[in-house]
Amino acid sequence: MSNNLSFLAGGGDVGRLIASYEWGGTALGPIDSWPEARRTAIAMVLRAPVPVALLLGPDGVMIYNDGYAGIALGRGRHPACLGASVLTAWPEVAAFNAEVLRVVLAGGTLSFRNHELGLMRDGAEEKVWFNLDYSPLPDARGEIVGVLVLVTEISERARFERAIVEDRARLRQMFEQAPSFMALLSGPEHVFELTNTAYRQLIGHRDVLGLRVREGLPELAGQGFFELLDRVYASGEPYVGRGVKVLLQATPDSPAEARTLDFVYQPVRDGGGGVTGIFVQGVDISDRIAAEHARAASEHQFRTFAQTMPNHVWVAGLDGGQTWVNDRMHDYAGMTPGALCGFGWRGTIHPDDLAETDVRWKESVATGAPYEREDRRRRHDGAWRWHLSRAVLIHDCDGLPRCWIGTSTDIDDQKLVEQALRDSELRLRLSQEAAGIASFEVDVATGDVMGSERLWALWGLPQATRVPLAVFERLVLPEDRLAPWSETGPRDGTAAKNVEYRIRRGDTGEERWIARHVEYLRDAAGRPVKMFGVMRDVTDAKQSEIRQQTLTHELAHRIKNILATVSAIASQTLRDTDLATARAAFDTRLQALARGHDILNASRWTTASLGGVVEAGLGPFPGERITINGPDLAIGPRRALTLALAVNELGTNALKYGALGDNGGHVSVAWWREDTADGPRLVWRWAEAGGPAVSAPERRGFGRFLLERVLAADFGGSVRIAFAPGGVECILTAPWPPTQWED
Amino acid sequence: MRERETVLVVEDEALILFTISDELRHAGYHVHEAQDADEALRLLASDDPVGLLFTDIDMPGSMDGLGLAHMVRDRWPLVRIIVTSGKAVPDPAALPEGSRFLAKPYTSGAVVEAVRGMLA
Repeated sequence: MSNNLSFLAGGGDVGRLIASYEWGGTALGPIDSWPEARRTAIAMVLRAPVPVALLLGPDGVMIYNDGYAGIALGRGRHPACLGASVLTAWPEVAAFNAEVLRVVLAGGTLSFRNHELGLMRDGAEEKVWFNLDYSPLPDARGEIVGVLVLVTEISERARFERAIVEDRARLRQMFEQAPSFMALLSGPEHVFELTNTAYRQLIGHRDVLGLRVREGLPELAGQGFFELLDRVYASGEPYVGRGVKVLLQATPDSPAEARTLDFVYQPVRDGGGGVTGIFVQGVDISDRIAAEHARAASEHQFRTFAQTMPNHVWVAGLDGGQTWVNDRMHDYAGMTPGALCGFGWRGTIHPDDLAETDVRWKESVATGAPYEREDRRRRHDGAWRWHLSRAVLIHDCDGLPRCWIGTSTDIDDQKLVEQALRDSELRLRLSQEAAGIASFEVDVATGDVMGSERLWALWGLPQATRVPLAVFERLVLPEDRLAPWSETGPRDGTAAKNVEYRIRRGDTGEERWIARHVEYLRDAAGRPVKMFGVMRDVTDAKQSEIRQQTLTHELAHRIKNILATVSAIASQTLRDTDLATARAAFDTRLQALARGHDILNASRWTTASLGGVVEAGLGPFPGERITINGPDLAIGPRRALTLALAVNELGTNALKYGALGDNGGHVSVAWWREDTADGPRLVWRWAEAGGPAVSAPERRGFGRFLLERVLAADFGGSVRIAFAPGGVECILTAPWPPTQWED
Repeated sequence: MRERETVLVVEDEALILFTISDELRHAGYHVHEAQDADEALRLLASDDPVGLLFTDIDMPGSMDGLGLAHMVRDRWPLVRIIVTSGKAVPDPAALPEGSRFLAKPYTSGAVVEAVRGMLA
């Protein structure tokens, strides 16, 4: 590098490139021929710390420094653009540059701000912003020979400004969306500069921007706000208002509405500290105030209500401690207000109940489950009375638990009545059980039956709470079916009050007699609503009644037959004799009949033993002179009676005339079975011996009638009487066995 | 008395049967005695025509007195009938038409009178 290139020394990388560049082929000509002024200009450009370029000659041949090289390299133009026309080096902006050349070469200047360009820095492209200034470059004679291009990087400031814009937008957004209302008033007349959404909502979305407060919100006149703003503006002192009432219109035509606000008037100052406006910021607390009022009112209402209630009413916190109790509770306990609060109420609970009450209450407090508990509470006079306490957890409108509200009701009297009722019910049930009485009720509307345990047992049905009437009706015997109630009986109230009918038990099918008594419960109109009743199994009574009836009939029949017999005996006895003889005979015959009856009574009139009848029949006669001998034989009642009468006739005759008389003698009564060609026969023999000689009487009296006809007929056989010298012999021969008929 | 009427007395109790029979004989009637319905039917079928049947209802055997009375009404419609019983008075509709009921106990006189009334 020769001396004449010394102007490039200290020109950096581009300086070295210029030195080695072949300038001969350019419009500038060889570097040695360059005029001094150009050299000086180039030297200054190369040393400039900011990007500078020269556009030389009418074509704008480019010479620039390292700073500008960075920019050109960023576009892929360096070093190609060095020594090239700006019009060909930047073809995409050729028209722009042509205009630059035309204006500046003619002596004008051009400036462009905030021009964005990419720049290679540290091997990476970076977006940068520039200000571009074009000014004329004169030669030594003052002629314009080129354009000086100053490139000023403004990236940092651009970025800063951009950040400010973004911040402002963000602030603006925050301002707009802030839940509190805000407005910016400027100047002593308080002109609306800005309002946010909340503020616009507060003033009914009126467009007040650019208006003075007095114009924008005329309804505030007389409420003191304009004066306040004036004072803040004048004094520079902020004003804070709390719970301030204001009447605002939603629209110019609508009536003013009262709102309650918390707000600040904050003076806004310029750089010099002078007040330029007022920032208004605040919160509309009307709804909160209304809610607070409502809550206070409801609280007041609750307490008033709670005070008038006869029950104990209390409020407890979420920890279970009572926060409020009504006066009734203090009065009852005889304690000063407040003494029951917290857990003071525990002192009034009976020691035996306290542990369980604590457990239950803690459980409810822990789980939020409704509380219910009966315990004894001490009255001021020391009496322990049963109380039923109930409490529920109250939630606020957000569903969060707030407190417990509880009541305690004196149920002591009720408890006593209940106990008494239980006792009496138990007594009734026990007595019903003992008496075998079942109780039941029928719901007329549904036809459902409810009954005591005994009812189901009585009918042999499984225990149930309620079953249709038909279940019972089905078990009634068909022939008795209309007895319990007519078709419509249970419904129209015409069922008979007292009936007896038969059922077939549901479980065993056994036939039982049921006695039923019912009463109707009727409504005001007299329509039956419920049928109450009791039932009893009267089967045993019924059977014994039937037995009793049979017995009564039997007895009546027997008595009539006895009377018929007695009548016959009387008729026979009285025939052809004197009254005195007849009376005596009749008497002994009745006694004989009675003895026969005694024997039959002993066997309940089934059968009697033949020997027994003979023995009893001969009871009044001297037994030591009578022998009785024969097998054990059963005979029916009629034969027994006839035999008793027959024995009496024989004995009486023997006593009067034969072997049982004073002259001594002996009677043998014997019977046995005798097998004959016609089959087995009963032979019964009365034989007298050792007595006086007897002869057949002249007339046939009752004795012979009875023996020969009645005894023979009743035994279905024949009787032979022999008047032998040694005494009477009477032999009955009859079919064996002597009992053919049940009678 | 126009002629000797025959009365058939049916009664299972011999004492009563014979007592009644004796009374009727004493009153001049011809009397047959039977202790049950079977025997009574046998006697009815015999040559001696029966003018009146006097029967107890309550009798053992294959047929009681009421059955006998109805059978007699059917087969011997001219025979007069008196029915007697110590049990409850039967429903008049249960008795054969034209028959009469005499409750036990009766006196011999009452029986004779009833028989005489029926045969008059």
